[in-house]
Amino acid sequence: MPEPEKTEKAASTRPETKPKIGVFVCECGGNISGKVRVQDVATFAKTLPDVEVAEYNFSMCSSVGVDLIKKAIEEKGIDRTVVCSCSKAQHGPTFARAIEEAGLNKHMHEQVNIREWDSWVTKGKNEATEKAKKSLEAGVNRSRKLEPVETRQIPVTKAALVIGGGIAGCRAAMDMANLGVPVHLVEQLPTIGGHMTQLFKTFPTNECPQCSISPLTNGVANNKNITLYTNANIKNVEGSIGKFIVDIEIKPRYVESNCTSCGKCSENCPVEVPSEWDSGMTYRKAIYKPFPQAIPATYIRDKNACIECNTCINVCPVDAVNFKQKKQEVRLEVGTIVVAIGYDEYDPAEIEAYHYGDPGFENVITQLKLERMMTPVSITGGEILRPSDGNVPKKIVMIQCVGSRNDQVGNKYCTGVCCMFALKNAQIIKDKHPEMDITICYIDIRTPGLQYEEFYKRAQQLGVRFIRGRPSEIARDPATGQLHVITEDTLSMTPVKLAADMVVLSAAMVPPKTIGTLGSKLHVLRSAEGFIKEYHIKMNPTSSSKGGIFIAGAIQGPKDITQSVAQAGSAAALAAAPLVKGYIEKDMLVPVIDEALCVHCNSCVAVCPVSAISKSEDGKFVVNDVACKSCGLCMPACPTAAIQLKNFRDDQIHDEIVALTEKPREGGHVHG
Amino acid sequence: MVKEKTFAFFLGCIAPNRYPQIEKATKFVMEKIGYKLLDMEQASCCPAPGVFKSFDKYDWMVAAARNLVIAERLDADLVTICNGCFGTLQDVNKHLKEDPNAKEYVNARLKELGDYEFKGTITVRHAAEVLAFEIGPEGIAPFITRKLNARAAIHYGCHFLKPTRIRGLDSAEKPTMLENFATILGIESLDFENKYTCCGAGGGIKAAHAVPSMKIFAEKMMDIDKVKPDFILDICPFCHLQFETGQDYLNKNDACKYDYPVLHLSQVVAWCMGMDQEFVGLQYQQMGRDYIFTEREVA
Repeated sequence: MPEPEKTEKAASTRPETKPKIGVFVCECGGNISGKVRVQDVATFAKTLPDVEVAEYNFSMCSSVGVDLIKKAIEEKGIDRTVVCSCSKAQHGPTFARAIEEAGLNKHMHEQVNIREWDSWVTKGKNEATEKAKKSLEAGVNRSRKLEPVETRQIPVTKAALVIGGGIAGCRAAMDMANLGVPVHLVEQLPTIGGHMTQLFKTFPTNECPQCSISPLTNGVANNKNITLYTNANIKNVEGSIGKFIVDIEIKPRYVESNCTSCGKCSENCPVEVPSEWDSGMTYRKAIYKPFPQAIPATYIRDKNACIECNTCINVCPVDAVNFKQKKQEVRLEVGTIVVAIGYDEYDPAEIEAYHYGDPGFENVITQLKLERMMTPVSITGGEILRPSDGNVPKKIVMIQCVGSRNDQVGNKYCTGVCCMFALKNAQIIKDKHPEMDITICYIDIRTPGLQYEEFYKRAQQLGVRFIRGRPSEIARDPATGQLHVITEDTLSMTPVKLAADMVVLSAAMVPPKTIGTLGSKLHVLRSAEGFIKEYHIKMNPTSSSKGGIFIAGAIQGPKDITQSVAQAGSAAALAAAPLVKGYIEKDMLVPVIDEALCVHCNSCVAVCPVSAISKSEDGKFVVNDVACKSCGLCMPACPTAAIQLKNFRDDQIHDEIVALTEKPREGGHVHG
Repeated sequence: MVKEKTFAFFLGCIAPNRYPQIEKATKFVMEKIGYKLLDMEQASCCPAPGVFKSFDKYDWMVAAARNLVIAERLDADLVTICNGCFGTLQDVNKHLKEDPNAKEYVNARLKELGDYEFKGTITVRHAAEVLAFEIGPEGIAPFITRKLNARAAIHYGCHFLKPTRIRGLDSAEKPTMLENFATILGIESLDFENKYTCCGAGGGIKAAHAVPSMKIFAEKMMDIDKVKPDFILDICPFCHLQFETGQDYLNKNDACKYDYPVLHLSQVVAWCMGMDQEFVGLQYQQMGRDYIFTEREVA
């Protein structure tokens, strides 16, 4: 604790008129009054010095309650308020706004939490009431030294960055562009569209996803407000909301943009490697376009696969192939960022008992591979053929929850979309081949929502067999190569051994591998599962932990296309709002430095996480009001209490703590 | 630090009572490769991981800890020749090393039994893992005097590899340790269906529910019979017992005509190191008594 004379000195810079405090206690419709005798608390408040008004109400956040506060300000002339109700995060802003409307500075409001911290967690009524009184007294003590804080408008850079060009990223980019915001869309792959372009059909309407997404991807490519960077990575991110400086690196395509997409280079290229976009189900050339509708349509050369035979250079009619192309670095300045980097399909090889990828188990594939097999452009021409020998499988077994709901691999969560895509693929096969025997082994079938349960019903009607049981193993007879799925039908409690010509694994959605490095660059919190954590799971599922950075789609957690699109719209609206308005509002709740006490030790500079404190030319330490995040870390670091955060000054906190630590006294207060 | 190249030899119950030839073969092999085996006087049942642990986990820990303390006093790592003993003793040893509350509890109970205190100074080993993994195929090669010309159905059993997070030896789904080792002994390992499933004996099933135990075993034998091995190679006396008595049971009750010899890894390694076949002791077992070990000609 600082010496008394020091705190007085710090306090002396503030107005010393006698405060007039209004206290309002909330019943919260029984949430509080069920435990706390609010009338007693209000009566107690009246005994505290400087308290001019003390009232209680059924619901302070209602218009009646808010009017009570406004009336007290207008009629009784109170200059600060203490509301005893819920947490500061819950309704602090409601009351701050109310006093602002009545003409006071919004920082003259003090919130006392007697719900989450008291009535909900305290046993007896007496105990809860005493606790409420103490908390109230602490709040009143604190409020005496509250000071007005200015709210400043800070201009923003009118441009946004979208990271990830899948369905969520494209949607967010398009929505912001339509609001007139210039958007930079950065995609690490050579083409936009993401996982959705890989799918054969989308549930529950079995539509063609390529047809659904291409108006959007075309729109993104042709929108004047959108600058597209494919084959590009985020190198560095600096700054905060309103002004982020982002460095991106564009890897060379080795094909110039005058490429007419005629495909001659690819036709003549002698090198074939498995196609990433086709989940390895077909081959592509070393110079290639990932898929016919790819955007941008410019071809790309895979430098690692290329044998540099120069054929492509020779056959290109417009001389677009250029092996000498270099990587480019671009620096962008944007006001907000939307992260939409999607997901990876879980690699089932981790579950050894399923032998995915093992020799002899070629007929064990994932749903994404099945999707690729079923498309008309696939290696099988859209026919369902088992990979080992190209024969038509008679018996297909699908296994659900591969990598989901599985403690052993560390994924407790339900991916939530696998039931639907398995049902969809099973139906597509059944429609085409009614004679094929399809079994889905599941833990629970989860198809909530409109048209989804109906979708499940339709699969049942088509004759898809359902066995409730998670298979323990996919076994292979070494003599015949026949696969068997070993499971238990838990409804009839019988062990089952299912012969399978092909096994399809419904693999989970997991955070993409690239999130590790990108997450650190963005300084956003992540969930235990590795996805980017939302600000509030109910009320703000679209903001990240860092101001100005928003999340859309599966990077927040597994989602289907519908949900991803909806969240992308929300992210776009939130990210565009300050850019369209032109400024953000920031409370200047910043520290002030008492030059007389400062010993120039540099401690505050060292601890400030956003580098908001620096030494000026005349040797004084100055605070950058805009960069400051009001975290308060500088205060305990200061050895002389020279740096004091407004409204969180040492003496204010001291006054507050004193009320909480002294023994309760009937009708008394501890501060003279 | 425990003594080097020395093991406290934990025999368990089945080997000394039914298959002393496994014990003899293990001593023979370990001494050949330069390990000293110390007798563990007054050692008890491990106790069995399925039965005892299921009924009373705490009693099970105390009895196991007592055995561990006997090895600690000998200042040597403990070696077993049985998957069940390995399971119990390694699980308890690791658990007591990691959980101070459990250790305190067990030590309080051990005091009632006499001058016993679990300190956590040793590790628990399995002879098969010492041979096949630590010594390994390359390490054993100089000690091999002859290779065995045979095709074997290798049976790992359950507790040797599982739970994998405690054992940390090899994959439980596709292990290669014993196959790689068998190759150096001249043995061809056969791939057969359901190779890694239970023999049907463990977990108290054999004693409590003989018929289901034999049903599980019958499936196992059908898969093994398909590949017609020269013998079944195991690393656990309890599996050994199941394969022996089980074939006899199926012959008598299900009109089977099985006569596959059953050999513990120690027995096979001992023969490859020059032990005469009569000491390998097949003639004292129920199955495959007429099997004759033949040397593989080295090309």
